[in-house]
Amino acid sequence: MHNQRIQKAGDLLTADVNTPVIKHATSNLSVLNEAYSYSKPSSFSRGMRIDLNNVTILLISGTASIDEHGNSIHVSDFRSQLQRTLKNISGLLENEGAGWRDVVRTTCYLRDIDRDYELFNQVRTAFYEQLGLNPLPASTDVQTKLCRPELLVEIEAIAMFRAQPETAGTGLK
Amino acid sequence: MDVSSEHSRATLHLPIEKRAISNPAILNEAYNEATPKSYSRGMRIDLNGLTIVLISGTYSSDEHGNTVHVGDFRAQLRRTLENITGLLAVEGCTWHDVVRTTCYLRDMDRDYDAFNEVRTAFFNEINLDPLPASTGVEAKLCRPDLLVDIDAIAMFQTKGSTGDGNA
Repeated sequence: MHNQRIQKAGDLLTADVNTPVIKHATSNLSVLNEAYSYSKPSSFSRGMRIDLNNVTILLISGTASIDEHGNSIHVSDFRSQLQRTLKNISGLLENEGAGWRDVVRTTCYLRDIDRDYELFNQVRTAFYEQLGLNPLPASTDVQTKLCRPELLVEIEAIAMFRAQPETAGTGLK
Repeated sequence: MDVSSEHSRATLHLPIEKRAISNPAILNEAYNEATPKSYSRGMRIDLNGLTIVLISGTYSSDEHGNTVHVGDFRAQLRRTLENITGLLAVEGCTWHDVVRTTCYLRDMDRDYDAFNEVRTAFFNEINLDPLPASTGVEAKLCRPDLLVDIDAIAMFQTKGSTGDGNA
């Protein structure tokens, strides 16, 4: 039954003409440079915005403690690196009119999870509580090496919200 | 860190319908641990007739938050799969609705054969077809005694949809 349903949907899809979704790269140069601007370009966007009929999806790339000039900041300071990482994600979300309340999922990569996970949780919890965030995003927290040896934490995120064109004269619902 | 200061585009911003997922009968809330972990066990998102379930990284932990089956990879994986089953069930869905997993093994070289045997047996038991897309990699996990961690995305249709593409 289940498989038949999917098979049928698949048949219909192949009969359609594919058209691209509406999407654009997102950035916030006031907090974070473009990865492509490095001396050796890193070919990824800081995030991608996808506008579907009923929902806007923001895919925030792996984000770390990098400043507007592309430099790693707060070297060897896990707490400050995490705070800057969260701030950079806030900036990317804001640029698309969104906020942490729209984040449905994160993946958090720590360079040394045995050493830093306790502090990670203290800082993340304090940050979310300051925002009154509820419900909390889904998340996966694991250890990996990151793209620069001095980076201690990196977070990627998915946000979803509804964006509707603002019509003249009508206020907020 | 003000999150609502600027709307750079002329759009109204409205939240989507979403809620946290939990199943405390099998898995505690991560927030209730001695040091609160600020994530939900999963997030359910309801779009017009389409429901997306995002299951957090899930591991061999019990209703009291304790790691179970320390040192036993196969049993940890079984418990992990069962915990995910339980989280899906709360939202009225099953592994048949899972479209993607990411699987993190603490020691890939040692455990990947056992991982595949157990996962295949589990998916065979429930006649899972098509199989989810998946990425399997090695990573250290949030507790030293955990050997495997899996996150998942499930999607299904609600609102009386027949799935015939006419929505």
